[in-house]
Amino acid sequence: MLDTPVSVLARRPPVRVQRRTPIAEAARLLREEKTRCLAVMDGDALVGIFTDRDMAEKCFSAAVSGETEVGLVMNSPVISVAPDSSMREALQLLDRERMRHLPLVEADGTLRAIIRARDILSYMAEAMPEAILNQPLAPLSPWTREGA
Amino acid sequence: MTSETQYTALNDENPWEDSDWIPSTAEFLLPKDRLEHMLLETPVSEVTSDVFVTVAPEDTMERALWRMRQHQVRAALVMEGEALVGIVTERDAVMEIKPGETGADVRVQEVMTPDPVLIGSAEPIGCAIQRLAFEGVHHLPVVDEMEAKVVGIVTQGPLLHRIIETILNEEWAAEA
Repeated sequence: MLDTPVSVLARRPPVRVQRRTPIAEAARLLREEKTRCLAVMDGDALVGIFTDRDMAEKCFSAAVSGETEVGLVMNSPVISVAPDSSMREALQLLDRERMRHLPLVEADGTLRAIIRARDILSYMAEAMPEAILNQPLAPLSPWTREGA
Repeated sequence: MTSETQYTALNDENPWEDSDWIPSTAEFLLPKDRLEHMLLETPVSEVTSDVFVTVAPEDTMERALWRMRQHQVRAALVMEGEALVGIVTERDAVMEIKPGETGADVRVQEVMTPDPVLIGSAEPIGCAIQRLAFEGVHHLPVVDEMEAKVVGIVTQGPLLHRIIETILNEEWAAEA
């Protein structure tokens, strides 16, 4: 399970923005694409990531406007994994760097996906049904909503 | 040597005699089962962060975000007196507030998730992972079922840390 390459988790293509994109547009993408992490590109090269955490920390103040470039508030340099990195390596990186998103970058530099910490947890849940998947469901509310 | 002294002599050689050490089930498991064992046997209370921020439903988002930043957390519990009525996170702010605005005109109760998914502090870690992975939430308020009150919050970070710690310990033990 832990030696499986992380590339098995690469499912949906990442949502990309260029580094000169205004934050207002990036914010719209975060909302409408239902993602928490955007890949910030300079041409075809990945130069950073922009997460809802960055947005909440840096963008709700009078110091920025909707016109500010996303390149100024992104997370850079990027810490990424290669397609043949193992789940173990990805977990270690996520824990050590306190990140929740890991870009998956091919040897030639192309961005293939963004792996979320949650993807790894779901993968582990399916690999260990006794310990995780078959646990009782939350008793109180059937409520799930984007946000919490 | 009488039979009584023989008996004592045997007891002296018995390393278990006065020891408090009781072999736990984990000692007899195969390495690959250790992680599952940890997930089933560790209570959520061991990974609960007891630093949590509370806000009132009528507070502004500006204040909620300020308090979250101040305590370096990503979510705040919305309390009405002693009762938990919702949870508000950075994600809610991203969904509702435009960049460059501060959230001073948005009330917490307008954007919070009411009746959040909870977890009991005595439940196993595996259960917390299941809820985080499949309930579509990133923060689980932890309730102490005996005292019927919120005691903290559990997020992915400490869970990932516990998992990787178990895996690495396992591998060092296997190499030794």
